[in-house]
Order: sequence, then C-alpha cells, then structure tokens
Amino acid sequence: MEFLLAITIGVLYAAAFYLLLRRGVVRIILGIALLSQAVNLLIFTAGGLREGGVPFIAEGQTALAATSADPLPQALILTAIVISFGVLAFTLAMVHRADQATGTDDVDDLKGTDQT
Amino acid sequence: MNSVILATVSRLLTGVLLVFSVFLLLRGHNLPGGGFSGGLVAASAFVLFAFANGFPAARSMLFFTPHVIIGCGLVVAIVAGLAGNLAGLPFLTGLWDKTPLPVIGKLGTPLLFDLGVYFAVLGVTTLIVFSLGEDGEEEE
Amino acid sequence: MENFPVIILVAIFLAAFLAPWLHRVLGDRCGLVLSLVPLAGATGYALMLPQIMAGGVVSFRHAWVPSLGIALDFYVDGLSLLFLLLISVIGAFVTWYAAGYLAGKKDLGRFYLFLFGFMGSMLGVVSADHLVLLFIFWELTSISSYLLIGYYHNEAKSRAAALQALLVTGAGGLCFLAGVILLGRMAGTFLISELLQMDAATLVAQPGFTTVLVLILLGAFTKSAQFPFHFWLPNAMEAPAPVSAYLHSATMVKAGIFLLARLFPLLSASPLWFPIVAPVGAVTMILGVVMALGQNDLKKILAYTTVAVLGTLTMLLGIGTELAVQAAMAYLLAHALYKATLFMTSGTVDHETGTRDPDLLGGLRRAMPFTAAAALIGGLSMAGVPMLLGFVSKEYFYKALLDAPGSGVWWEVLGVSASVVMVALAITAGFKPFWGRLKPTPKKAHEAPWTMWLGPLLLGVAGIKTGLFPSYAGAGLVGPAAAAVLGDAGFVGGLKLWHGWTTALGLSAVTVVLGLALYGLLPRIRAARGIYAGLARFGPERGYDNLLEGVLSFARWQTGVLQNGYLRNYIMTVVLFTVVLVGWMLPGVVPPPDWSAMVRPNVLTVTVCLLIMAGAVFACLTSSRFTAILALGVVGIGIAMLYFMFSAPDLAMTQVLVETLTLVLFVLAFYRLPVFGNYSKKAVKVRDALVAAVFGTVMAMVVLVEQSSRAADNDVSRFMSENSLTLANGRNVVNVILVDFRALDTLGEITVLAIAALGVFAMMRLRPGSKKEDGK
Repeated sequence: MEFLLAITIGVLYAAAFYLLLRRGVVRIILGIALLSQAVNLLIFTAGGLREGGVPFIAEGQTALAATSADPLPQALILTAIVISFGVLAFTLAMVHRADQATGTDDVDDLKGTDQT
Repeated sequence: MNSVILATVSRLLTGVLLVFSVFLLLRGHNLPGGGFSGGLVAASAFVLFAFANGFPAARSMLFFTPHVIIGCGLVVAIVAGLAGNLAGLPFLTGLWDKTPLPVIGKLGTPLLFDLGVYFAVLGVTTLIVFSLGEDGEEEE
Repeated sequence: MENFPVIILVAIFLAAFLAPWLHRVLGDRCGLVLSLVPLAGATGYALMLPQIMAGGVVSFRHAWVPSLGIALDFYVDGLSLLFLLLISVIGAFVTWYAAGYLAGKKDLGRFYLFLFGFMGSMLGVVSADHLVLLFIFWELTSISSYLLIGYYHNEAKSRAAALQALLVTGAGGLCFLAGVILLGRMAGTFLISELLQMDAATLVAQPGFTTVLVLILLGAFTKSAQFPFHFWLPNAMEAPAPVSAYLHSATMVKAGIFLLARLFPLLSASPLWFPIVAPVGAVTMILGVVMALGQNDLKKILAYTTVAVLGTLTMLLGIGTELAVQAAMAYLLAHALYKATLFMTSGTVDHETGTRDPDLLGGLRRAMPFTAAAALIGGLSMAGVPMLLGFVSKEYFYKALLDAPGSGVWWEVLGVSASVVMVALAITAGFKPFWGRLKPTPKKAHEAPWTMWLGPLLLGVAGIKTGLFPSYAGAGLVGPAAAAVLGDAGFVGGLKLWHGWTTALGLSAVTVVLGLALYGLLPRIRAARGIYAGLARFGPERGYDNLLEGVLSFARWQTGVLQNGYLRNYIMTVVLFTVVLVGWMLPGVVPPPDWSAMVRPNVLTVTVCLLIMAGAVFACLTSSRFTAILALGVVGIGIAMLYFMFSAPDLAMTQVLVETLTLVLFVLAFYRLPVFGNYSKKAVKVRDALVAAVFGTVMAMVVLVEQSSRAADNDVSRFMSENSLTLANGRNVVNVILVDFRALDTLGEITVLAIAALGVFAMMRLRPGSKKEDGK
C-alpha cells in the first residue's frame, strides 16, 4: 500500500507542478490546491499507515494503544487543511480582482502591473 | 435559486446542522469532532441557508456580522489562554473542573479555547463565502 | 578622568540628535549653543594633557558584545590626544562658521545632526582601543561624510561627489576590516594597546602578514586620498564650505594618516612598508601640487594642496625615521590649523562676493578686514614663513628628508619642489583676494558676521603662537604624539624655532624665493589648464566611472535573468534544483521494497488511489474549467477516504467539509473566473510534462526512503499519547494536541485565517471609489 501511495503522491506532485507552470491563472490556482493535497498526503504517509488504530485512548486505558496511528501528523494536517482553504479563498478573490482590474488572466501580461 | 422545496428543507436542515455542529464541538475532546469540524459544519449550515433563501436572509439569520463572530472567536480563545495567567501558570495552560459531565466530559479552559476556534472558523468561512457570493448579486 | 573620552563621545552624539530640535527652538543661534559641547569636550581633553605629557595613557573598558570579544574600549595616548584636540576645537569653530554660512537655511538642524554625528565618529576613530570598534567609527565617518558632502542634495553633481566619496572610502573600509580581522586572529588580540606591546618582528615574520599590510594600507590610502584614489577629494568640494573646512583639514582625510600612525610600530616593521608607503606618498604629493597649479577655483586649489599634504604626511611616515615621524606630526598640526583657516576664509569670500576665481578677486581687505587678516596668517603659515608653525614644521620636514635612508637628496628635491608650489598657491589663497586693486565681483563685498571670521582668526593666532614658541606645542602635542607613533615612551620630542645656519634653513629661503617667482607665472599656467582636461581621460577617475557603470549594468543584466518576473521560471528553477540535488543522492538510499512491512492493499484502497491519480491527471488535461474543478473535488474526496481508511477520522471529516466548501467557493466564483486560455505552445507543454514526471518520480522515491527510515517511535508522540488523558482530560489525542498541547499554534492559525478572510472581504468588497464600502 505504501508503494501505491508513493506513486499517488508522485502523480499529485507532478500534476500540481505541471499546472503551476501554466500561464492561465485559474490553472495555477488548481495547481496550488493540488500541491497542498499532495503535501498533506505526504506528511500523512510519512507518519505511518495504520488500519483500525484511531488515535483515541480507549476506556480503561491511560495511553494510546501501541497499534494506534501517530496523532501528531494528524494534528498538523488538520490545521493545514483549514489553512489551505483560507489560502485558496484568498487566491480566488485575488484572481477575480486582478481579472477585473487588468482584463487578462495571462500571468505574462500581469507582469509589472504593480508599477502602473 | 428559487426552489420551494430547497427553501423549506433548508430551514429544517440548517437547524439540524447547527445542533450537530455544537454536538461535534462538545464531544471533540474525546471523540472525532472539535472546533474546526464543528465550525465548518455550522458554516455549511449557513451557506446552505444562503443558497436556498439568499444571502440577506442568511445574514439576518446569522444575526451578527461575520467580522464580529471572528473577533469574538479570537477574543474567547485568548481569554481561555489568559485564564492560565490568572492562575499564575503560563499562557494557555489548561484549567479543569474535577467533576465530569455526560458527553462533554470534564469542563475546562481547553473547551473554551475550542469554542473560540469554533466561532473563528464559522466567522472566517461565512465571511469568505458571503464576500464571494454577494459580489455578483450586487453587480447584477 | 578614565571615562572622559566616553562621556564626551556620548555628549557629542546626544548633541547631534538634539540638533534638529534645538534648531526648531532657537533658530540660527542653535549653532552657538551646540558649539559649547565640543568646546567643553576640548577642555576635558586638555585636562588629560599633563598625564599624557608624563608619558601616561588614559584607557576605559566596557564589555559590549562579550560573545564576539567586542568591547567598548577606549585608549588615549599622545597621538590620540593630538587628534582629539584638533577635532573638537576645529569642530567648535566650524559649528560657529556654519551658523553664519548657512544662516537661514531651513535644514540647518539636519546639517548639525550630520556634522556632530561626524564629529563623534571621528573622535571615536582616534580614541578607540578595539580594532573592530575603530572600524565601526571609521565606517560611521564614511556615512556621515556622505551626508555632509551631499548636503546640497538637489544638485546632481553634489550627490555624485558624495556617492563617489562613500564608494571609494567604503571599499577601502572593507579592505581595512578584512585586514583588521586577519591581524586580530594572527596576533590573538584586537586591542590596539596590546598589539602595540607585541614584538613586531615575530608578527611580521608570520605568513600572510603581507596581505594584512596591503589590506590595511588600502583602507588608509582610500580614506586619505592617496594616488590612485585621490580623485574623490577634489570632487567632494561640492560640499558647503564648513564641511570642506572640517573634513579636509583635520578630520576625515586625516583618518587614514591616523591609522598609518596608529599601527606604525607594527606595520613599519615589514620590509614592504618603506617601498610601498613612501613612493605612494611622494607620487600623491607631486600629483597634488601639479593638479593644484592649474585650478582657477580657490576651493579646488585648497583641495589639491590638501591631497599634496596628505601625500607628504604619508611619505614622511613611509620614511619612518624618528625625525620623519616628528616632522609628520608637526606638519599635521600646522596643516590642520592653516588649512581650516583658509577653507573658511575662501568660503567667506565666496559667500560675500559670489565667486571663487582668484583672477576675479582682489582688494577685499578694506571690505572684510578680519577675514583678510585670518587668511593672511593662514597663507603665511602655508607658505612656511618664519614666526608661524608652518615654518617650523617645514624645517623639520626638510631635515627629515635629508636624513632619509638611501638617497636623501632625491627626496629633498621632491619635497622642496612641492613646497615651492605651496608658496605660490598660499599667496593665491591667502593674499591675492584681499590685496591689490579692488575688483568688481558678482556681489558687493562686505565683512561677514563674527561667527565666520572669529574661528579662522583664532586658528591663525594659534598658528602664530605655536610658531613663535614652538617648544610648548612640541612638548605638549607633537612630542607625545611622535612618541606614541614610534611606540617609544622614552622618545623626547620637541620643536625649536632656531636650529642655526643649517641646510634646511637655506632651502627654506630658496623655497620662498622660487615660490614668489612661480606665483608670477600662475596666471599663464591657469590659462593653459585645458591640458588638464585632456589628461583627465587617463586618470584613475575614469577607472572608477567604468567600474561603477560596469557594476550597474551587471546588476541590470543579472536582475533581468534571475528576477525575470515569470512565476514559472522561478518554480522551474526551484524544482530543477530539488530534482538534481535530491535525485543525485537517491540511487544509493532507495531501499528495495519490503512488501511484508507494508499495509496490504485491498480493492477499495487501490480503487481510491487510482481515482485520485485519474483526477489529478484529468485536472491537467481538461480544457473545461468545470471539469477541472470536479476533478479536483474527486482528488479531495479520495484523499478524505484514505484518511478515513487509515485511522484518521478527524482528518477525513474536516477534509470532506473543506472540499464541500471549496466546491461552493468555486461555484460562486465560477462565472467570474476567466475561461481557460490556451497560451503555451505544444512543445512547452511536453517539456513541462516531462519535468513534472521526473519531479513526481523523485517525490515518490522520497516517500519510499522516508518510509523505510522512519523511527518506530518518537518522544513527542509518546509524550502526547501518555499525557493526553492524565494531564489534559481528553481521549481524542488529535484534538488535545490542537487545543491544549499546541494551543498557541492553533491560536496563530485562526489568526491567520481571520486575516485571510479579511483579505478576501477587502478584495471583493472594498473598491477604490466605490460607495458600498461597509459590506452590509
């Protein structure tokens, strides 16, 4: 399974990178969204895969069972998911404004618009 | 989006979702849930309501503006942290009541902190969605 | 007494920062109030005289950055004291002078800020004991002199001159710093007082000492305008007269000389000292007087003679005999007194008449008697006429040259020729404008306010007093200074007016006669000054210009290449470097897959992974925005399922909610998002796809490597697992981490979210010129 996930993560990274290289801003946004998914999955896989080991302390226990998943990467990813939502919203609003202000979505045309 | 069915169902669903969000928030310390998911569910409830009944209706149902909700969330979270300082402990140290309650478990400042997270996420999400959504309506 | 140097230094800097405020309160009179600070400082320094004359030193220590071994250490000996007195006394006079010269200027307060900042830096340079501290003050003088020279900042020439001075001395300053660090490491101490106690011969014998010597000399030569770095000094005459009088008589340009003198006991032990320093000084001296001959501007004449004097001082230190060092100290004192006077009087002439061309000036003595008197004394001292300090110092100069090792005669010829020109130019600057027939000038001349002539006159009187009774100046200032330079506490220097019928006296007489003759020829030389413009094409200033232009065009070129403004080029660069660096290491560390240790895949998980991959690829290929957004949703939900299947219910829940809301956002923004344009060429797409594939492969391999090398257990996770229930009363460890263990991070995160949301709100709702700005 880890092997398959490694390939999945590789494909996500490749797709995100390919989209980031486009000139249309909307594709770049898609690339950013995919990139954060890829990173989250990478951290998750790096934390170790566990089936049926939710990181909750069972009744009568005072610590996690040895078979349970590592809670730390999960906490990291949880914040990352919410943050990337905020970032995505921010970029969407920004692209919308840039489109209104300049009438183009080609990043090559957007170059140097801060000077005008 | 003038669907009568959606409008009717949304009133019911919104209420259910809001109750569910509070449930998620309260049980989050021991079972899946917490301020983040609770806040997101609550925001979804208002977004659904907005889609069914329009943004002005959703705003009036939210009662406070999203800005105020964000501010309250941050203030609540900071107050929860300052409670530690009042007790002579470092900022954000958890303080607990000894007797446990059903579903919630013991009461403590981390729950208050999670409530702050809940409101902040609710306010942030509704502010984003309302800002993006209302822009078009006003221009039309 | 020990803390005098520090107290005075702090007072000067304090005065600097108070100056703008004082100027607002007191107006033009603030200069007089401010001048009390350096005058009090001078008194403080004078109180140290007895101790220094007795061969003692004053030192003060205070730890500053102990971890780097940098301390606020001050050390005052005879050499420092000579400079301290000159800087504070002339500084006070210049403060008066500026009060008159720049009267009514709105930014006079700022001028005093710069001037006192410079004064403090200069005092710091000459009293610092720690080499790094000295360097810091050294750089401060460069910066504050930049501000002073560029005082008329709305004139391009002024700015260019200031920048040139800053760049030349700044580059030298960096060499100096490198030399200081090397020297400090070599000797094991940065304290000058300790360095001077060391055995110079063993230090010089160390490998790399030549580098140290050359680097420190570069610092001194650039600061003191030695050939080929001399060109910045005459250009700096764009500054107002008080600045020129201060920077180019006793301070800024003498800092290099001070450095040479300060480290003289160490550096002069090197066999390279004499062959480098003496010739450079001689060339600078000759160059200075030759250039000065053709100038038709009093200030430029004084500037080039300053270059010549700096060359003379360098040459004397290069020769390095006891006599030469003492002559250098006497010459330095004499020059500081007369050159400050002449710079100020020529500034007064310019101020009152509107011209500085000596051919257009004459007969001003009736209109401005006090200025004329001061200029006359200054000129006589510069010419080396008896009864003035200039004469005494020139006697020692001639004696030292005759005494020089090797062929003293040749040094003597050079020295006398330079002095002959000095005589002619002294008459031009100190005599010509004031005597003879009154000539019509752009402005009707009359005497300047007392602030502008009292300082020069007092300096002139000091020149007469020390010239008539040189033994006092000899025992109090020049002698201890020379002893400090030589590093020989037993050295007893002294100045005498009368040495008997010596060769030097004869040469002095010859000098004055030849100088008078040369003065007669000066108008003709000035008429032919076109030759100079032709020569300038080969001067070192061309090198400076070309270097500056070269650096600027290189900066333009590399900015164009590296910061081209194309996002994709930046990303491409980052990714290619990652691929090459990581990929280069990977082949050795990628483990063979250990299937038994891995979680067994089942139909569901494999299907989900395939869906995610398909969604990602589809998002790249589709030309429809809507399909792309859906594909993105598939990827997100697929990953949520993975989270769910691998024991992360909180993640799965959050991910599903966020995916839903993301979809809502896209739907809301959909009609306002631009449609997909087709901008890239096919070949570009293929190239990008290839690089992306390689990048993806590398990342996949990174995951595998990380998998095999991961520690089975880690302390942080174990701590959280064991204390979640007992300390934080929570069974959901993920939630406990978020709201308790790492609550501060979460607080930061919701703050960031709030800012992002406000950003969205601002971009969508607040428009410049829009009336609907409250968002209701």
